[in-house]
Amino acid sequence: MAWLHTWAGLIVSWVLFAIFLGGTLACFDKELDYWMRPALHQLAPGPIAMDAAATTLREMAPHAETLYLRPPSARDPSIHGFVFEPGKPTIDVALNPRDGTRIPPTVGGNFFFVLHYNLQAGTPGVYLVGLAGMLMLLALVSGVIIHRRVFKDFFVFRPQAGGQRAWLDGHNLTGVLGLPFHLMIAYTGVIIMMSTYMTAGVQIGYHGDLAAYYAALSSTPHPVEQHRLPSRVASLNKILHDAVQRLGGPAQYLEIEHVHDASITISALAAGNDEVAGGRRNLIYDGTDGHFRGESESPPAAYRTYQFLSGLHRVQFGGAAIRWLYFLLGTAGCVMLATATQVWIEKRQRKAEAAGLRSGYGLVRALNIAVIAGMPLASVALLWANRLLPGNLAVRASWEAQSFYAVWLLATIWAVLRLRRGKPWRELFGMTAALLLALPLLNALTEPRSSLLASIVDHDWVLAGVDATALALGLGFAWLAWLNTRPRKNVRRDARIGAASASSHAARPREKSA
Amino acid sequence: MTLWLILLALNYSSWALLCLAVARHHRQHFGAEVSVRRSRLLRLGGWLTMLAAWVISVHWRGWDIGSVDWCASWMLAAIAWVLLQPYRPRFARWLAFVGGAASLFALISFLSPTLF
Repeated sequence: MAWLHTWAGLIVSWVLFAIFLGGTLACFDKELDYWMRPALHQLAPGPIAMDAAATTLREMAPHAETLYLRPPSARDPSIHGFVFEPGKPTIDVALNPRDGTRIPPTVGGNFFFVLHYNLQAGTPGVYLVGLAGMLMLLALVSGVIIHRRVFKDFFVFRPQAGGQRAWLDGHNLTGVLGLPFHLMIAYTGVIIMMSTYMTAGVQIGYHGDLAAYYAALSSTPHPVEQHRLPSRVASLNKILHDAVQRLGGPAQYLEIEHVHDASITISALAAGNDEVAGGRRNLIYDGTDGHFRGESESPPAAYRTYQFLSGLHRVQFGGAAIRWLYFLLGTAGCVMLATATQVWIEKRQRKAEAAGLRSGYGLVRALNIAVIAGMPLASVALLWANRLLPGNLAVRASWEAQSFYAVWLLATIWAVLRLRRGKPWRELFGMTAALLLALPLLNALTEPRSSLLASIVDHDWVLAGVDATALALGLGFAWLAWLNTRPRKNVRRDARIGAASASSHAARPREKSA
Repeated sequence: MTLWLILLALNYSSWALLCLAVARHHRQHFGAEVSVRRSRLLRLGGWLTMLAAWVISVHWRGWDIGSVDWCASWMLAAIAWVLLQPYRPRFARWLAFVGGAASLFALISFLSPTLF
């Protein structure tokens, strides 16, 4: 069983680390979206321009049959427009909530969300992430089975033991104590994409027609086309206002169906942030005169179960505090993965020293540094690129993404080059710390109205929160860099220290070697 | 905010009690063997505190969100206790005691505002 844990884990541990870190950052995707769009900061109070936003979206996709508009929320004041047309790239734009115009493009915090479920690699990426998720479930279950002292060592953490012992304790600690979270997040993560991974149901029930399957899941009854243009189009502002009144809470989306037909229908889905499974109420309006037609039926129990599981994963419920808990547990997951590869490396150190640096061992060590220290650096670089790239640049969003990849590549080269002579862990962690600590300064210099001070004065806690979190994380990375300045102990010395501490703590219970 | 602090504090205290009920950790903290009676009491206190935290969480936020809140803070509290224990054992115990007592006080004053 140990071999299963080692190999199920090791093969995908770096991919999983990228997925975990991306997902952890995506806990605050909308907050990062907001931070990365200075045009939205310090908006003058005023009405929400849903109609102007719809006009902008229709100009961008003149032939689209269905448009989606996400009204402003407490987490993100922009209006978001989405269009999904078969055979065309998805449109996902942030619009100014006052006049419906487009805001300078940015990949936003959404970058981490997409990275998290497809590694920014489209459908093949979705399959790779799914495979990694399934192997993670395997590694979690086999990990509990091979951890014979799971209850005896439940509270044990011996950082002073050094070397492999401390790494293994750290791995067990974050793995075992966070186990319910890790199991839940890996399982629900795979479940969210189940119609992609397990196609048998759709093949048999819908003869492989995914569109028919999704249409059956949708709770909105589809209007019958009348093949003539609508005489007029109802005001979305009024419909949104009415929907919020009827729902007694915010609406998540307005869906505009049959945009160019007299059967135009508008539905408003409840945000439902007070339920794990999300909103179930869906109000339907006539798209020509805007009169309320009624509510669609609640989704069936099986689909509601799916919504509950995906809701547990996507954590859109319960406010910022629960997102912070997920963020911290996600960080624990990152530590579990980082310590895992470290245990693997420490265990093989002596063998590898005999084989020499030419063996694959040196490469594994360098790549390990490149992934675990490189990705945080690249993530901060993305935020820097957002502030440094000119606002009117048309290809701004793709340049932001390119700078993320470029910095990650540079970090990889750095790790390879500095492995023998330098201290690549310390250097990369140190750079990450410096960039994080200087981020509020950069923000204040490039966007004075969005600075930490201005946002505190303005009581804009979402904006201030991003800068403050950067400072806190910067201190954390500085601490990690400082830890790595201490001389590296070799394996043999560790073994002696381990033996010495075991005998000097003779008062402790008989410790069998694990 | 108060709910979160109470949840974290109660879960943290419950882990501390459960941990101190283990002979090895009792010896680490107090340098003395734990008696069977004391160990049982500590363990019972730990489970009861944990249950109390769950009941409060569900009462405040509903069974679904409340359970998620509880479970997440339960895991984080465990990690916090285990990380703090080897470095600052005295502070770790102090935090468990003060946190537990303060949240009990907060709860009582919340449930019976007329008493205070």
